[in-house]
Amino acid sequence: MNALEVKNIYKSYKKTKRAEGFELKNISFSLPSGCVMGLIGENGAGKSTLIKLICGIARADGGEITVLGTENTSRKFTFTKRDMGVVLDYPCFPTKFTANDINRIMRRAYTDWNENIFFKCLGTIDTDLKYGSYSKGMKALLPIAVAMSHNAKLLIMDEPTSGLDPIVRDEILDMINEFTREENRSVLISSHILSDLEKACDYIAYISRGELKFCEEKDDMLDKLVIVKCGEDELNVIDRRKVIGVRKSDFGIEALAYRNAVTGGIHCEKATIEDIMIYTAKGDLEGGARI
Amino acid sequence: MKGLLFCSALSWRPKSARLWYVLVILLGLLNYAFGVFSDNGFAVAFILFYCTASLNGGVMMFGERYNWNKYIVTLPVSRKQIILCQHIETAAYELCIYMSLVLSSVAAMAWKGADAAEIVYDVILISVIIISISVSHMVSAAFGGRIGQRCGVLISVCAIVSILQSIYDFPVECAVCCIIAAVIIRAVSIPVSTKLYGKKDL
Amino acid sequence: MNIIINNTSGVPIYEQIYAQLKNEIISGALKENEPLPSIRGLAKGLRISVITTKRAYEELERSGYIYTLAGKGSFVAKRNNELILEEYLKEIESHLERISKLARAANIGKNELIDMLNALEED
Repeated sequence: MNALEVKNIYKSYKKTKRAEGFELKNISFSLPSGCVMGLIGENGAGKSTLIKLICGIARADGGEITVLGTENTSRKFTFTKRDMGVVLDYPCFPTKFTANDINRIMRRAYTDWNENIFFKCLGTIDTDLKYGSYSKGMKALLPIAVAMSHNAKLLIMDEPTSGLDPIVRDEILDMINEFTREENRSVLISSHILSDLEKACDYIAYISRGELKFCEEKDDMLDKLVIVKCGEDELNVIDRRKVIGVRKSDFGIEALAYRNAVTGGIHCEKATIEDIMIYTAKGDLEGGARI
Repeated sequence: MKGLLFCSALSWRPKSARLWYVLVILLGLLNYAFGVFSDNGFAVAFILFYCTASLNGGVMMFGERYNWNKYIVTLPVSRKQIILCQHIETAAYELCIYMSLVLSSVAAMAWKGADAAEIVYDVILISVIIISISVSHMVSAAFGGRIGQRCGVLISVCAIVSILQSIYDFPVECAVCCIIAAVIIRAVSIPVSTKLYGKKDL
Repeated sequence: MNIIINNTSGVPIYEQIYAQLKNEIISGALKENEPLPSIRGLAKGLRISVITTKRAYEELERSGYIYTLAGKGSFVAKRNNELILEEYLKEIESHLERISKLARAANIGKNELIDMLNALEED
């Protein structure tokens, strides 16, 4: 079963005085149950919009989204939300509330609320401290703790690790890692910190300017693709249809290509997700391949 | 739903909303003084208007100010319940204001001897407030809390000024009409605001 | 049991897991019918993808080193001596390939190599 299915989702925001116009163009992908999917893309690519559409915060203009088997515009979705944990990309708790207050609210909101996990996730944070006086790291941690503490089956996290130091980020990744130890739990996580996603994800989806460029299994993709470093004539040996992007300098060429197309003694290195993202975005190559 | 109601209760606990409670008590005291000494009702109307404006802002803009309105959509509640919760919250705090007004008027009447005009005046003020808050519920469901609040405040200012100008001798029928109008508009505002909020992008 | 994933080697991760688990089984560190770590447990412990781990297990099963019971997990299969012999032969072959390459480069004859081997065996 798929934990999340997005089918032909379309959403447009009209251009106004305050905001740029923007479009999500017919995005489709699905997240198999029990897997972690990383959502990547440049700023303003539509990641947050997509996540808002999935959670029902914004309404799509077309297409359909099925979360844990329930369409998110249906009435039953209210109950499905019990099995969802959501972390938005901005602080979203009233500044006067303390962690204790949040605990008391959530205890009444979720049927499966477990305050032991909640306080354990918060670690050393003083539970009587007002949210407004939290540090940035603590502010980010609170919604994550809420999302982890009601036995959710699907976590949706919009940049949970942005602006945090490596130690806290590692703790959060650890929490996600622990969370998915159980078979039926899935995670959709967006981030700019690709090294985090490389550690945590099974699938990577890349959105650019409102379009889904690829949605692939991470390790498979990393095994399939290589960074080639060579001279121009050597590159010409490689089948053009197997090259995704090229970056030229005066002293040679770097290109992202399929491993099986690279022959002979051409020097190649393991590609990272960052490479794949950059070359897919920038390496406009005529007749080049797509992932 | 229970969680949401509890959250409203938290945000209105005396510790967090001290100023508002002080205003309500002040409102009662002023209304009492006005009743006893038959002074100008402007101060009462002014404080009443202030209470409504902050109630309005407190209920409808609370979520938007902290992005909390987006967050609660992800909790296991429907948008309908969110709006309903707002209405319940307003109703509870409206009740506070009215109790303060009516009790102080009754107390003033007892002190000075019966004068029903006092109560009629209160009822009309109350109805105006109900109407303005109902309208602002609908407007904020469609366009957001800030615009809703401004709209509600505008209505209550206009109404209160016109009431004050036509100084105090209202017939009882007028009060009855006002109450009926207020009830109808409130009854309409619940489904309308639910409908408007249901389709909105937050 | 130690499994070490090398992220810079360029060898696909599933192959690394496959090779290391296979070595454990061949060397006898993992006994017959002994349970292997669960796919999810291993993936989470190593902080790698569940899908990749699953793939390694599937490969192991296909080559006959492990068997899987639905709902119970994976276990080390009955020791298949032929399979292991083949595995050893493959390894010897690859070493020999290197030896012959080196010998050619150093201009060392076949007989000299055989002498070296004999000397090794005598020790």
